[in-house]
Amino acid sequence: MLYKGQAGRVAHECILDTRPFADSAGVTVDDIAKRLIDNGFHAPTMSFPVPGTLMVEPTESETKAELDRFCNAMLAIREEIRAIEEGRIDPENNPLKHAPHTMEDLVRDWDRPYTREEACFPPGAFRVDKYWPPVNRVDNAYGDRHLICTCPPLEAYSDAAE
Amino acid sequence: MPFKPTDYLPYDFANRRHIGPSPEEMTEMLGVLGVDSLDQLIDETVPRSIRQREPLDFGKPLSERELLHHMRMTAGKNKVLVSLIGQGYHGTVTPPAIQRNILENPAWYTSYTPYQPEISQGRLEALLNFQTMISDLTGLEIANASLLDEATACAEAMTMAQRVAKSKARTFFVDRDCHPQTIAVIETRAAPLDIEVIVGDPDKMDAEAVFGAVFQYPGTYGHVRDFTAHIEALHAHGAIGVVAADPLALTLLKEPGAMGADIAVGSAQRFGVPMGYGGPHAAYMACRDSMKRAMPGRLVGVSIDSPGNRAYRLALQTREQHIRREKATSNVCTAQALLAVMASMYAVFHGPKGLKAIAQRIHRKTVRLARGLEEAGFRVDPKTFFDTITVDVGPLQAAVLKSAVDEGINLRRVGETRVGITLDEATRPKNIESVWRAFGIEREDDDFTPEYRMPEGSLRTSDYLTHPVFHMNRAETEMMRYMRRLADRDLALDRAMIPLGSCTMKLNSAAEMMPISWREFARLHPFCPPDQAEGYRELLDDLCAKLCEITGYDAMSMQPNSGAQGEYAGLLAISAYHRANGQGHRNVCLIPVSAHGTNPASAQMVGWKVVTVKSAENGDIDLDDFRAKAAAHAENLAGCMITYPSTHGVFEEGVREICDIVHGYGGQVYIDGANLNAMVGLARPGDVGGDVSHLNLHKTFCIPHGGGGPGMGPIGVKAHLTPFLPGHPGDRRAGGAGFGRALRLALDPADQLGLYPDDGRAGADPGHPGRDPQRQLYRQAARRGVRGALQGAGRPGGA
Repeated sequence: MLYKGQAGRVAHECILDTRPFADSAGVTVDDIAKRLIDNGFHAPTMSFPVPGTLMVEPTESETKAELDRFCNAMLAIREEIRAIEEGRIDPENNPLKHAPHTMEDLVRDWDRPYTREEACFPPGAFRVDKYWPPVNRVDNAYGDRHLICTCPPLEAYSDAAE
Repeated sequence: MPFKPTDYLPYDFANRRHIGPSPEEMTEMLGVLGVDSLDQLIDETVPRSIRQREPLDFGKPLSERELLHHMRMTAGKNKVLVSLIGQGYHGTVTPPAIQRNILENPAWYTSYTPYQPEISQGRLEALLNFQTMISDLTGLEIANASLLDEATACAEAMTMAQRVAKSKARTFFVDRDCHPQTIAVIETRAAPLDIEVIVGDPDKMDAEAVFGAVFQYPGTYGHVRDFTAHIEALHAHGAIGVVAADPLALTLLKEPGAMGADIAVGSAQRFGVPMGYGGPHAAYMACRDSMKRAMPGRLVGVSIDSPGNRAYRLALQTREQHIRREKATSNVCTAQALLAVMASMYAVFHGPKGLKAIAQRIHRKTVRLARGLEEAGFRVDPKTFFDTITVDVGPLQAAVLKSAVDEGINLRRVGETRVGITLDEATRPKNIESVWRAFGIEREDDDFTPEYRMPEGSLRTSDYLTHPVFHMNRAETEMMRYMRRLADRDLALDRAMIPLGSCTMKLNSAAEMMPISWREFARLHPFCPPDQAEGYRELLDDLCAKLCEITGYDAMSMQPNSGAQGEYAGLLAISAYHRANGQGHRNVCLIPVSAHGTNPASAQMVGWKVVTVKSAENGDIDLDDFRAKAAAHAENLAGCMITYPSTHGVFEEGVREICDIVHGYGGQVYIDGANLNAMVGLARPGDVGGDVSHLNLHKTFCIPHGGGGPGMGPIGVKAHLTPFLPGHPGDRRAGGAGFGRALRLALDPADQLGLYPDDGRAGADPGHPGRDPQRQLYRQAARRGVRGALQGAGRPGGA
């Protein structure tokens, strides 16, 4: 936790400092945010107001069960980072770098050093009611270099699939 | 076993439904923190020095059922007439499939802005459809995914024109046939930027003297003019041509791109989005490809994901305020995503043939109406038109307007002697007969011979909406499944907690959403006679009074339709206050480095210089640095913008000192209300030392985020700033008069409304759409009896 008030308390939100993981494991705030999708969550605020950090605001409407589910997801991600730190998994080929995982990933040939189970059902993810993202990680820079801002023609759809 | 009737209150909305943790869970959670009670936790968190002395007391909370009953009663005080006023707001038919599957569907209205593209592919596709639709209809290459309303879109187009024009002129030309609210907003926005605004006849425009011009198409009084020659003249002098166009008219009329326009703007309201007494609706902006980097607002683009499959995401974000800060293209942050999605689905639902048929029917109805008036001897202007005509009735104006109201119809008052009539998709033959009767004509609307009165040279010849998405099978099953498929691609609050810091993604309860669909709230025109909007007035008065109590401010303005617009309006108020005190030179604004990007972007828009203040080791504002910079700019210090609790999520102890420093040098304190959710009932920005704040009703007060809008950012001010609030009769920006309510409405970041919960902390009360944009409330007045005080203060034309 990056900042606290004088009595050690925070207000309605708090900043989690994830910057040290960039040095210790090469894991960025982006990797954590995308991995949370596998856990079935929308990421906290990224890089605002402090670059490279996450800001979490659990509003009053959330139940304890949902808060616990989120905490479990975050703790599980910390363990995945630790595995990289301790050299137990490849720093490039791991669930954080490949996140989020789609249903397509499951049916593809699988040659990764972690299981499909670990990829798609990390702590927090529902089994029956699993949220499946429709795409893998989106390349922002590519789209800015090849700017298309209207619906692409149908041919483009088939090209993309090839 | 006996039981007490108070053991369990099944209808206690605030405690059982809005608040997540049950009492037992709270006890457990407090145990983990090592505190005995919520009160002890708050005592340890919120500095004693800023705590409010008395708790909020809004009386006994209502149950959901009582509340909906109360809302029904209030809705019943609005009178729903058929409004044929036009002026940028039209009756429309919302397809029930869209109302139920989008507007009333939490999968759409509880989602957040699509900054995380992997979980937002559904709404990104819907917004891409919106951009495609706008790009096609306007004939321009690039369209953004919505601005706040047509008037602010025109103002954005002006500043964009200045950025891209080769001409170095400082003057912007505005077609006198622009909507009055558009003209007013442009004038307000231009003043702090040293842009001179000329309002006049386009035929008399001096293209050499301006960097750009905006033309209304069709004009506010109905004229359909071809601006090709005017835009050519502008281009010859390196200036930019902007056309503000009705997208429905563009299905029949030559598109702005074919006239050579560089930028097109307008409102997509009549694409199935109810008027709602003024909003919210999605405005659009489209431009030439070469200008895309200068365009404000969110832009959806197509990219690829890691295996190379097609994926959507927000494009060119480097233009935006959260990256570029004071150098951004605009302070625009919130869009009108939910409403843009509705409008795009309306186009998918009807397709190009359907839209064209709707436009043709509207035109034919207008021709029939005009012919009936002409045959009875009335002079109808213009001779060619799309959906709007103006009739000169001389001294009979008041009588005609009144007899129209007696017939259940609102017409538009134009000048002293004319009456404006605008027909729409929902106009029925019996409405046309009612209008005739208001003019003293007994006649049946039974002649359906098609006749067209559009200028030959202005008819559209190009195709539009050719993409397959606008040609899918239009059976409702297919539409329903398309909307379901898109919704299923997204992760919204209906699936999981969205723990976004600063964004406050809390429950938007079903009860809060229900009233927005009620006709008594949805079908009011923003310029309808005030006595038809008594229900709205009551809601707004009540909301203003409660927000004053919650914030410790003396007055509220409900005009700003987003947090960023609130910032802008608040800073304008400070600026006007300084000028009124002979301190107009004050133009330096202190902003902590941790501030949200909209802060510096807004400060820049009022013509201020931004001085950044460092953060200390512990994340608080560096008091030494703050003191030093305030002293260094003492003479020119306009004020500071701070967020409380800080954007770092901490109740800083030094906040009072910061306010004292700024006040000591004659500056004003703007407290950004983004984090008000942490304060409601515990501390009040007005007590802490703030002079003005905006409140994000879409954060603290339960308006849904809608996937990136609607938003709502009313501002509260201390008494000394009340004369400078938008909408106040003392406001000199009302100077032009003559447009009455319309002009006043438009004074500032335009009109918009959202959904208002009446209550603060518990968020227990249902929201409702709409507001009276000129309404503000004085706390003293509230105690005396609000109605009378307000009628005096808010009367149009009183300036």
